[in-house]
Amino acid sequence: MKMATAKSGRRRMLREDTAAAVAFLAPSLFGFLAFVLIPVLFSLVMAFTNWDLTYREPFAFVGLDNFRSLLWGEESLQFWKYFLNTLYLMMGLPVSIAGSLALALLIHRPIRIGWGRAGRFWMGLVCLAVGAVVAWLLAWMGLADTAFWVAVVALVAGLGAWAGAVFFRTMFYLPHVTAGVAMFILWKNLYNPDFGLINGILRNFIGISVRTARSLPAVVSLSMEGLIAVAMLWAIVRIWRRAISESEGMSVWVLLRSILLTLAAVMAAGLLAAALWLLPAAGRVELPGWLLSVENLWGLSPERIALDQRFFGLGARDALVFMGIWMAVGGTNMLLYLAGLGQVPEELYDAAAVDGAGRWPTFRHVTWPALAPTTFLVLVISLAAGFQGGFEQARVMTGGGPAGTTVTLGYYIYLTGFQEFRLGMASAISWLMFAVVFGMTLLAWRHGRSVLDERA
Amino acid sequence: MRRIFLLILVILLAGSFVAWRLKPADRLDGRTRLVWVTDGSPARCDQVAIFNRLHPGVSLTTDPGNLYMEKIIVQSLAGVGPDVFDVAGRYVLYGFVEADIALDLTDIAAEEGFGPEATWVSVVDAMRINGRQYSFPAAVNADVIFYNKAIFDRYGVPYPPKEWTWEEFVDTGRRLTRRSSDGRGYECLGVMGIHWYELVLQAGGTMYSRDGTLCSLDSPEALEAIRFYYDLSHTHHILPTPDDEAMISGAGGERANFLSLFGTERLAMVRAGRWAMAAFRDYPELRGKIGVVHLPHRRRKVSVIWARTCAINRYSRHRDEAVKLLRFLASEPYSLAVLESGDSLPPRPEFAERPEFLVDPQRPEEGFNAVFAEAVARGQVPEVSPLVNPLSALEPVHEQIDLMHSGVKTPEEAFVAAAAQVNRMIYANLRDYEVYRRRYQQITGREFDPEDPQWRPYRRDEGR
Repeated sequence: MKMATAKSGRRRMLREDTAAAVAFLAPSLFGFLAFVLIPVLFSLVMAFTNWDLTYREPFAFVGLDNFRSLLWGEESLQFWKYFLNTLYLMMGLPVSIAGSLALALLIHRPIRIGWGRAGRFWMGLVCLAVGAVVAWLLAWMGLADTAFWVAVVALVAGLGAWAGAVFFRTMFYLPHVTAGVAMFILWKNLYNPDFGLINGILRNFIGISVRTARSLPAVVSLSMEGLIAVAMLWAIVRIWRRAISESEGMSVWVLLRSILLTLAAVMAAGLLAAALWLLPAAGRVELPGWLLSVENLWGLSPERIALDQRFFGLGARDALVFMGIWMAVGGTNMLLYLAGLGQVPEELYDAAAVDGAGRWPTFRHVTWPALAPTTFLVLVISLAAGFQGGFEQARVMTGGGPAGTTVTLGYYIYLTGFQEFRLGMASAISWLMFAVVFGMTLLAWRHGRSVLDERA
Repeated sequence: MRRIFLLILVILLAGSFVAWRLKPADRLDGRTRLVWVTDGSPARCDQVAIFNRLHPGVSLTTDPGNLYMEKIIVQSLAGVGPDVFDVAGRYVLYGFVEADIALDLTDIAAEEGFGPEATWVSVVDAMRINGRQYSFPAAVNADVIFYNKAIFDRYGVPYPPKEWTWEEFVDTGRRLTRRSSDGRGYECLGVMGIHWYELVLQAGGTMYSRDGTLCSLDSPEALEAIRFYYDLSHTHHILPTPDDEAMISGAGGERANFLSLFGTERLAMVRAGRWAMAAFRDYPELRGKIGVVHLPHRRRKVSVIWARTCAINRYSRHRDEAVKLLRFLASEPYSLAVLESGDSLPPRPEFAERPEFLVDPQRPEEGFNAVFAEAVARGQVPEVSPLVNPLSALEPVHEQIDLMHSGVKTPEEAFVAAAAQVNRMIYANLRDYEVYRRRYQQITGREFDPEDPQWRPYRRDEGR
């Protein structure tokens, strides 16, 4: 009797819990059904129709016609051109993923400094003071753009010294929480071929290089710049060796010194590149046209699916790639890596230290394998986002131009659906894009799982 | 748990009730609420106030946030579209008509007095598609050249004559364009805003053949025009290249910048319609320094007419009130309000020919108003082909112009390629759609024959 009462009580509780769960989930489920599942299924059906808001022909099911037209028919040139554009913009993915990992490694431990709070304060002050002096000197030399850049770097370094790793985490994540349109307008101005900061700094580098080369014998100037380039390599190796050290926290001094050395070395490398590559042209040096140029690093023709040497250079596509890297490096990927690094057992590092493993072997054999699941997740998310991306940039920054070089599949869907009103065709493009994303994810999943299984 | 759930439910219900209460009612204080999607120009407030005063039973409100064609079409199909909406030119009207959103006004307009006879002869094509009227003009602009007399005086250049040729225009522009001392920017820009299409018309060319069945940008006249357009930027250096324009324009956009450049005496000449006067009046230092002449010509004296017209939503529940608004646009109070604002020319030509407008005693420094009226009278609305979506057809043209500016193609190569691409689109439409084949037969009197030799160059993609 008691048992039966207990049973019915449990059943009643279960019923009540289920009812409460359904009630709580109902709004979300309704939203999912109304705004996700039903439209997705609807678009799948529409992909096989000639649905056209301009009523050019009676509505009809056309079977696979839309897909045929896109893949090898009338629309194929455009489709494959824009598919290539999408792939091109995804070129920055490996760099941004590696960058996210590097940033996570740099900031996942508390930054410590031997002199306590006072030491941090003075370190920050020194950074600001040195930055201000260098910036003033550069401005006095007429290098206003570079001066501005140095001042910003010094400000970030100084504030970072005061506030520690939290400051850097916040700064690196900032582009991710800032409104996209604001970022795009900012970058549009940065890329302005004439007054933009990027070409301004390049112009400064070239100016210094030209002046240096003219005032010294060529052998001397090139040798000097060669030495500086070697210093750059040394600085980068140093920062990495420090960064991947897992046995001790990153010291502020090491971090700042390495960053400053790297910056100095990169500037020197810029001078060297300018001297070696641009001076022989011995005339007016052409700076990249960025968002106004059809040139690109693959040498893709803007009209055909072909490579053409005439189009080799830096143009609108590259501008979007660089901006994408900047936006992605400190974003969600970095947070995922930070979380992943927090999960690596300390015992593994202790064991590696006992075995006498150095920093690089420790990273290679402990950290990197332990981060494999995170890297896999980051890769899958990035691939999916990369294939779907490019719409906002095209809409705000380029309008798809110049000559259609920044139209991605996402923007192509918008143009077809809401400018030409061919909703059937737009649905077909969407589903082709889905097939590509799904295929890539499946491939990554299979390959990734086998790698993960091997490591396990 | 149950209490929390009930609390959330009550909050949601209360929120829904508030949202429902805040939803704009169809009737406001006993008056029918009419929504007009138009721009946010301050002049619109006065015009709306006049309409509401003249029509006590209607409350007209503007909605400047939904001006995009795609938004209006999607909203209308979803049943939440505006009653009346602005149409930014003939290309856009074509889109609304194709989407079956714009109400056919031919019969209503004839009854209510806002048919083709109520407006400029040259503007009629801006409100008609395939012979049917779908809108009525709210603002009429034809392009002219505004010049800054102070800059001409500074460099000792005589003011341009009211009518001038391309050669005179280039000569004047060269004498006014001054690079800055570092060579990176401009101390004074010669001219901004010259449009390739207007040059094609001035050279005697057209975008489409007379019957609209073929793109004719590969004609000798069009090729001459695009070569001249290219030379203005790259040879004579009096018109900014896209690079220069990027340099000049900041986040405010080109238009904001050319207004400020002209207002601050760093731009000598600019092509615009009368709408620019409303903006120039905000620069008191320009008072008495503005001159207006016609666009330079080659074989034809012509300007392009950019008319903002108003159409009625086919799905509007307030069709009678919407008709009242269009009738208001054809009325004297509206025309006088437009003239006063400096916004544009009114839809009715007789008001733009009144002596008090031509020489306004309130603004004696604007004694050039006759030029605006003449420019509209001899202007031309952009051509459209009945066989291709005009906005889609412009895409390959703009792509080819991009390639021309990038140095990838000569101007002639760019326009020949553009014409071929547009003709390929026309051919594909004729091949694929019955509606276009019917139109083709109506226009040419013969059936579309894909084997016709005229289509052979455009069939190369078939069977791929």
